[in-house]
Amino acid sequence: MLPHEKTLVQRLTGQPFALLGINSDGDADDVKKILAERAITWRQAIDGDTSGPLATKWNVNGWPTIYVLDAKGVIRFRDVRDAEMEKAVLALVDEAKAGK
Amino acid sequence: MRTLFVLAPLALLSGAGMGQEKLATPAQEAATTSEKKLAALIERFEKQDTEALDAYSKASEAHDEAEKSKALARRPGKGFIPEFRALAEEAQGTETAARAWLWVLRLIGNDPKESKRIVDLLLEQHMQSEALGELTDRVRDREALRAMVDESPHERVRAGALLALGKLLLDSAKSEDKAEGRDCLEAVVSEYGELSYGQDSTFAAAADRHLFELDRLQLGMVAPDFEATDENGVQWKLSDYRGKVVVVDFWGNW
Repeated sequence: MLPHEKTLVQRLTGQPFALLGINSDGDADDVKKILAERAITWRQAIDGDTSGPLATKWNVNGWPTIYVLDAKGVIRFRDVRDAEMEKAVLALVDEAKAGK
Repeated sequence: MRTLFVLAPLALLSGAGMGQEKLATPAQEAATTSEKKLAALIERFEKQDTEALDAYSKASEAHDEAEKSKALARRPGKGFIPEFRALAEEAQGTETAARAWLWVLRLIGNDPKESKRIVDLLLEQHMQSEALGELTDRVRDREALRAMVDESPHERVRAGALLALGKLLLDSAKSEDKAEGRDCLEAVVSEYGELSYGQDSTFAAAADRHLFELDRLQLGMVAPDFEATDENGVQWKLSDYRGKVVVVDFWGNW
């Protein structure tokens, strides 16, 4: 997952795209350490643990769980991984730029 | 007439109560013995586990990797199966047997065939047991869950089975199954909502999570907004990113 996410973030700098992590590894200090170790640059939500408020609200029972939203906020893909996720995101970014 | 009807059961009840005080029947005595044996066995299991976990924390503090794995290896597990199984067989048909079988099931690990055999036995012989509440998350058979919903005298068992049945039906590709799954979950909320679920939740909350996913998180729906705090303590909202393609990635470093 991580290499593909990094590729997307680099490739889509300045484009209408954001990767948002909802993290279940503990408090902000715990997460900062992990972000530094793994060179993760994108924004996080500190959700605490696997029964954190966001994971609970969105009924997440397996990690990672991925939702891909288009520029209008509509859920377009769920649980796409790696190359498939890249493809989905690139298509949606093209769609957003075409102003659809 | 009416007075007589009321008095008769009362007389029976008090008679039964007095009988129990005087002498336990041999069957009751056997049941009590097994119950005590089970309690002793669980105590021994838990003591061994506590000791292993204590040793593990000590080794962790000392950063001693070898001692850590040794401590973990001392945690009790499958070695206890024969004793729980023997007790379950000895106490056949009693509540103690049901609880002992649940222990076997818990310790058995990944053995689908034997697990299924035990689940079937529990459903066949122990439908009256309150301990079946621990089973509902393991049963993947709709008919078995329906039987528990219909036949168990314990509301916690019925609630758990209805929740499990709802979840199972929602996973189905068929729209009529999904509709029935929704009905099950809504019934959990209305009939058993206030019952406690797990450490600090309720059956209503447990069912609502699935209903929320069903109603708000499907393909083609606008994702519900949420507020969060980032790694630098800064608040953000999902809707801040409207106008951009967004990947929401629930993840952990494990």
